[in-house]
Amino acid sequence: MSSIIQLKNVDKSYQDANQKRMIFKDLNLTIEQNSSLAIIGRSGTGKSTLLNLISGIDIPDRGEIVIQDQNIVVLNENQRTLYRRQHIGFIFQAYNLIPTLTVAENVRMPLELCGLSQPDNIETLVRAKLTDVGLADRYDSFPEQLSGGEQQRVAIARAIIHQPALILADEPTGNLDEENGQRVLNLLFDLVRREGKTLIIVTHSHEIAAMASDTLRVTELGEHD
Amino acid sequence: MIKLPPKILWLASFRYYLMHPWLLTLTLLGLASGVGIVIAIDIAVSSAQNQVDKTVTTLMGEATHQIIGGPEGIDQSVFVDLKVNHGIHHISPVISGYVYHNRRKPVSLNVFGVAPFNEANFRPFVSSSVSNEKTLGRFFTTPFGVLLTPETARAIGVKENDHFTVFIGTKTMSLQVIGFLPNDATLNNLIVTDIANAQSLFGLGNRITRIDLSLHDKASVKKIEQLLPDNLQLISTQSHKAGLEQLTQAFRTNLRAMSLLALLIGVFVVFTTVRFSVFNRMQQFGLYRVSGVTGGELQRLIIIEVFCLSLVASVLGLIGGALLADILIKLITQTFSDHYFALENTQLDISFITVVKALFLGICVAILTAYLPARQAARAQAVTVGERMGMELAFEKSLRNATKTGLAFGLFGIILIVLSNSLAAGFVGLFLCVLSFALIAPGLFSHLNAYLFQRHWHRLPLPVLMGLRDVKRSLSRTAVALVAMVIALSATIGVALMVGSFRLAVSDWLDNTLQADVYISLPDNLANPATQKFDPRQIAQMTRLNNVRTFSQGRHLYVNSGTHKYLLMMLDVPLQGFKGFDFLQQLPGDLYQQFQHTDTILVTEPFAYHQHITLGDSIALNTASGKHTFKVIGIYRDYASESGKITMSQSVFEKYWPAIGVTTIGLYLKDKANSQQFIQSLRGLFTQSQNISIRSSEEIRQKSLLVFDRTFLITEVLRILILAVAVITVIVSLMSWQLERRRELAVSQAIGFLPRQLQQQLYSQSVFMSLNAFIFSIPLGLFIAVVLIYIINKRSFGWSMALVMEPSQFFYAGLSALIAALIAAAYPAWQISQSSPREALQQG
Repeated sequence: MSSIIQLKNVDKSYQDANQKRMIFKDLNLTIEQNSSLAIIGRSGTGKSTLLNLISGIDIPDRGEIVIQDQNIVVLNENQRTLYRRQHIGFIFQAYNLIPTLTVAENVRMPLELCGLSQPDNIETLVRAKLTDVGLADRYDSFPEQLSGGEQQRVAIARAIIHQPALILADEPTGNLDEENGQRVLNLLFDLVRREGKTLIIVTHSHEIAAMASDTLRVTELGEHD
Repeated sequence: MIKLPPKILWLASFRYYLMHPWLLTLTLLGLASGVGIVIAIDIAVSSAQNQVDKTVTTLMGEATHQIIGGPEGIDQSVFVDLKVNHGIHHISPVISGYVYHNRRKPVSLNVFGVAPFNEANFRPFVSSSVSNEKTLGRFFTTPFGVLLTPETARAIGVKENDHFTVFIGTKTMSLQVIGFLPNDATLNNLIVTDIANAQSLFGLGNRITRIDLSLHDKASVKKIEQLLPDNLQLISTQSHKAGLEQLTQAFRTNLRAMSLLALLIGVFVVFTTVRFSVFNRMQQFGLYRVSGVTGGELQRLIIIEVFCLSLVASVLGLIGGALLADILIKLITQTFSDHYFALENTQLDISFITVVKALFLGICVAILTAYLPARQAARAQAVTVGERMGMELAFEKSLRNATKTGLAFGLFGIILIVLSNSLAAGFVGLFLCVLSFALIAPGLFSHLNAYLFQRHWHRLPLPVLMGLRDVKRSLSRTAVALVAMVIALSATIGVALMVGSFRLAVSDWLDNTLQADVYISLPDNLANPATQKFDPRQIAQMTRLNNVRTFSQGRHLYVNSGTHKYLLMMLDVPLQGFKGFDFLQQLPGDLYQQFQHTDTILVTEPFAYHQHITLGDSIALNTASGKHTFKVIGIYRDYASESGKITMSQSVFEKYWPAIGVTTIGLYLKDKANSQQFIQSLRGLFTQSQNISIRSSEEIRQKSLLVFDRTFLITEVLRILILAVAVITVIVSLMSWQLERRRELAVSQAIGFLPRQLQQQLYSQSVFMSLNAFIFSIPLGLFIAVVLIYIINKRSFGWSMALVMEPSQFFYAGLSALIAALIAAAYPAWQISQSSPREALQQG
């Protein structure tokens, strides 16, 4: 298996009032294609920062982040954004669906951003994805009309519709009950298995971490196991 | 080419505004009202000015030049000589003046006496009206036969061949309708008659008021100039039109500046709403960024959103502005008629340029205003960025920069006001200073509250305490509303102080000037040939009446200097009356004796200001016997005319011009005489048909102040409109603030706060903000008043006056602030009573 992500000697710190707070020091990490990695750790240890670095939302103080042979650290803000548009799907704890768009419109948003413009193709794709996540009947509903679990499944459909190689999930079940949480997790891990995606999931839960093919335990001062 | 963001983002934005109808309504209302007020003033002022221009252009026709004379007019032999002996073909004699129809509610009619055969080259409407032989024959042969438009005939209730009565000076004349002029609005209230009829109407004998010429080369102009006697002058019609336009320039500039203030406040509404709409969607924008929308695309999305909103708002503003202009035009027409040019029923004139101006103004202002929030949105990097405390911290940091920028603006504004002499620079400087204060006020507010008020807050009831603390905590929202209120209230205070000071100055001036007890005057129009006068026998009768101690007499007329036409007051005044002049500067010695017996004049303050005359200068005037100079021995305060006037004693006037009599007599009564009883006895000297005005000095004073109040009525209307726009800003601010705190309010309700207590919290915030705005508006209002009185008024009209502070003006501003606060909080408070905490808690 070849690697999809490589973090090489990455340092990351934040300016906190007058003090510099080191999050990661000399972090090296390799993530294989078609694998799943769970990032686990206490609050404030830098789990979300790591996701932000991998997605290019944030950049390290030092080091390289190579995704599919492209060092994204050398890209400018605009290039990183365009890179993210094509290659990454994001899932959040708070779902973050656009309240003014219907379920179908939310799901098709990444396709439009990627420049796919044939309405027939888009509709077919959207319907297929919504069927995959079990929400074909909620096509025209607005997010506020859905339960939390349903909203998160819409978010998953949105994250995968444009076929990104990498899916980043930041505590995707944090707001869900056990049953809905399990359903969402099954969907996510199924994607890795069926569609050959790479999943990085941030979580507090050891049970969820156990479902992943690999686990990264982030501790204070950026050390990791 | 600009790359547009994907369609799906448009859809989300469009639905956002549809799902927040109050935000959409208030954004549109705020911007539309700002644009509407500017456009309304623009339409009303331009319509009035255009009406003046069109009327003047129609009446001047193709004339490029005019020969004008002194107050006595021009002997018609000059015309004959130029046409017959010197072969000038494009030349036409004209008599122009005013008569009145209906004594009770006078309608002024502009009489135009012409020779139709000479008119073809100048005013084709005259030739076409008498093109058939029958009308032409009647034009020459019917005594006092006139032509008028069908509209004018309808207005005064006459048909063809009907007779109607007009009043001219003390005379009553009967005119007959012999035909009609073309149906053109600019010809309304015009009556055209044969030149001989006009000479009889105005008692001109064989004199005319002017000669129109069409000269297209310099040689012809030079030739005519050489042929003219010294007491006549050749002027270009362009300079005459420019003079008329200049007359109203300051008035128009003042109104436009005030309307721009409304737009400035409208900017705050747009800023508040756009900022709210951005911050409210920060999480959404963060998601866009994570999903691959670039910062540039996001910024373009917001800017284009604002462009669409401002396009709709500008169209609404244009429609609202046109409706408002329909109301304002009546006030402006009245002011034009009171002070500058007789206008009746001005038509609204909405040009393509006005439409473009409205769209340009609304869109540009909105996009410039939205730039900052759009940039902030573009910087949204992740879903966590939009947290409220982060925004507040960023805002607090930006206050320092705002204060520095404000200080720089203020300094530049003051330099501009002090160093430049132009009116426009004065207004730009004033705007910069207002903007400067707007930028400094939030920082000042933050510090003042920390040091002065917060120490005592713990004594307040809990809901009020929570409300007040939140004002400070949510400075990014409250500051904008505060600043909008500060600007509106300070404009209210500043303008009220200026108008109050002005009114007091006018009132004092009237007390000084109206030294006589009773004034008798002929209802003459200054535009008429100076042929009206009191019969000397009547003057003798009046002045010999019992109780008359002494008297003054005089008249107003126009004289020219060769390059300018000046208003001159010829005056024979006793020493007591002379003491009524409030001299700002005077030469040493016995001024009264010098005035009465030497070639000297007095000038008013505006005259000295506009003509750059200083004490001791001499002014050359074209007299009947050629050019003579007169020394300025005194400059006095006068608020009657903004272009100013010259005052010359009657004895000096009659040395250089033929005696033309007087039109006003002032009678000084013995100490115990009752002026009302005296007026009754005086009326017996005149027949009713003489239509002579007899008024006590108090009556004149009252009427003058009435005209003053009428002139400033439009300012009052604008002040109220500006305040209304500021109220919208506060409503927007409170509404957006309340929406952001929906969860917080829901939690308060959940733990036991009654809706009444939450409403109390909201009202206390609104009142507290208005109270602060009022406190801040006092120094800015005083500053505005000082600039208006000492800089703008001086540069606009040449008048000086002292700043007088009436406590009531501050009280009314404070009351306005309080009412505005209560109105602004009413709707958000009502919403609280309707909201369910369950929904807010569920939605988060």
